[in-house]
Amino acid sequence: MTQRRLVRAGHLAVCLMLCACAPATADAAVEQEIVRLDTARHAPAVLVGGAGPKTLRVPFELPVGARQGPDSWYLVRLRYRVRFARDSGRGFAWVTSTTNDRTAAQIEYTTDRRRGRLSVRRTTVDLEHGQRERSSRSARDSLTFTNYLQYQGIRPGKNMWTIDLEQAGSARVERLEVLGDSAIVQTSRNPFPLTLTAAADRERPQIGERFTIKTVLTARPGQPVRDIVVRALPPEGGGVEILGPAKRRIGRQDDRRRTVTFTARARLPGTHAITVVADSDANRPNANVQVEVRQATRATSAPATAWVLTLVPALTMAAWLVVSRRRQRHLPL
Amino acid sequence: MRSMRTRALIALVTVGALCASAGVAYAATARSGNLTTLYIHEDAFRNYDFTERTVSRTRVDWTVALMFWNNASINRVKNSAIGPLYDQTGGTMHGRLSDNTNSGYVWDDDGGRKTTKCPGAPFQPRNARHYRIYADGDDRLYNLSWGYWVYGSTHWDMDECSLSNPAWFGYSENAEEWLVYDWVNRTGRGAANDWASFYNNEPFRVAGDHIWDSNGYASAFNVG
Repeated sequence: MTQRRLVRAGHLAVCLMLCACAPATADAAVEQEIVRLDTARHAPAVLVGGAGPKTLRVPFELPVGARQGPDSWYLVRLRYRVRFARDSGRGFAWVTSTTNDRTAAQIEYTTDRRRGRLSVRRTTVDLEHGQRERSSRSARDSLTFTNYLQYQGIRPGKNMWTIDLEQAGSARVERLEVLGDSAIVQTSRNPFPLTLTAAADRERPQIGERFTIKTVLTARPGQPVRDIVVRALPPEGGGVEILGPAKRRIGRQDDRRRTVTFTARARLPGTHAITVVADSDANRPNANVQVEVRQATRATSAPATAWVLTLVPALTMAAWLVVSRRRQRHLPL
Repeated sequence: MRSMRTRALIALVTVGALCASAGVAYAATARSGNLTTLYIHEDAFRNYDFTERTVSRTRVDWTVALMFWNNASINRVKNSAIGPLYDQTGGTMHGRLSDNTNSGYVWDDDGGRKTTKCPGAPFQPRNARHYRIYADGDDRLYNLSWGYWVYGSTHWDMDECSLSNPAWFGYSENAEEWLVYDWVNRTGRGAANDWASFYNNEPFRVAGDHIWDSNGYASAFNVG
């Protein structure tokens, strides 16, 4: 009995050890700071608004083969505090971050005075969240902004990271303090976890013929995607119509390939493109399927017609023979 | 004295009425098969703008032939170095678009900017170049190829407010070339004329006061 308990305890201990060593949760991404303002001895960096743009430049290096995607991605994390002058009037101010002259952070402030009081509207756009805005009557604002760099904003070797402050109209930025943990970050988190490909089983259908559009979905390992709706959009002008449901709902997609099919019918001659789009809680991939619709050819029915025409004289001859034999049987001896 | 004052008042009211009517939109019809949705990664937009918030080839205004990219926003373009040249506002039209986020398709409205408010009015030039630009939430979109970007259309307005000459609007291709020239010369940033096909070729065609002339290729403007 005691030995059995010891064996079970041993098994349990092994289990616990394995669980503790198990990989982290599926959605956790690996991140590494490539360059950081305070480490690069550029922080805190203070820019003051003026007639022209004010710029902070931070060089950094990347290894051979560095590129934006598909396995490794680069982000900008910009953290700052800004203060507008009390007499700031109607205008605009922009805080931007650029790598190799390719902008990946653009925070736009619209300032105005209403009943003598300053109003400030801040808008940001990033790849994952689209536009977000915030309005305030305060002359102060602080923000941590993160966004994926442009494809051309990353290259092996020497890179240049710049942070700019600009103003227009009567907007007056008294002080922009860029904080030390602003950084260029490398991450394994793919901003496009859901991928979609689509193809038609017939590239040159004839008018009236049906064909199938086969759509294959998959998600990146470790980044499952939810709330997926796949839609087949027929071309403008009605050259192709979708038969049956043009929309399919999929609850969850992991890294196993899933196929969704749509049925279509060719209606008008010419080249037509069907677009397949997937909405999800992550990204919205799309694919175009091009088909060339041909006129229905008469050659395909000719053999049948020819057979009928050939058979008519043969049948006529056979009928005459039958009739003539019956008459012979009835002649008197 | 009173009759002079009356005449001046009548002239002022007439010009005012003409300028007000200049904003009236008359829909045109796009060439068959042209109106479509263009996709750049996961952003999407219609390749014509519209006289009302309806996607219809009989309710279009002009071909989309402008793409401001990299560090663009509606306000950055309008307040750039071309701002003093294109410094007047125009009538509102509508763009249809969608960005990567799951917000579906949205409308954006813009009156744009033009070189003369009321061309053809007394003491005004007879013509004006006019552009309109669209983006999500009236600001900008973002993708990893184009960065921060907005798109738009352009055309000429001729004798729009004239008391003696008929008004006409169009020649988008020529207006686009002018905008490329103005952008490069005034901002010092690059622009690529006829950079990519937007599948909206409109050969020369007169439809009432709407003169189509667009080669189906959009120009790209680098915004710094």
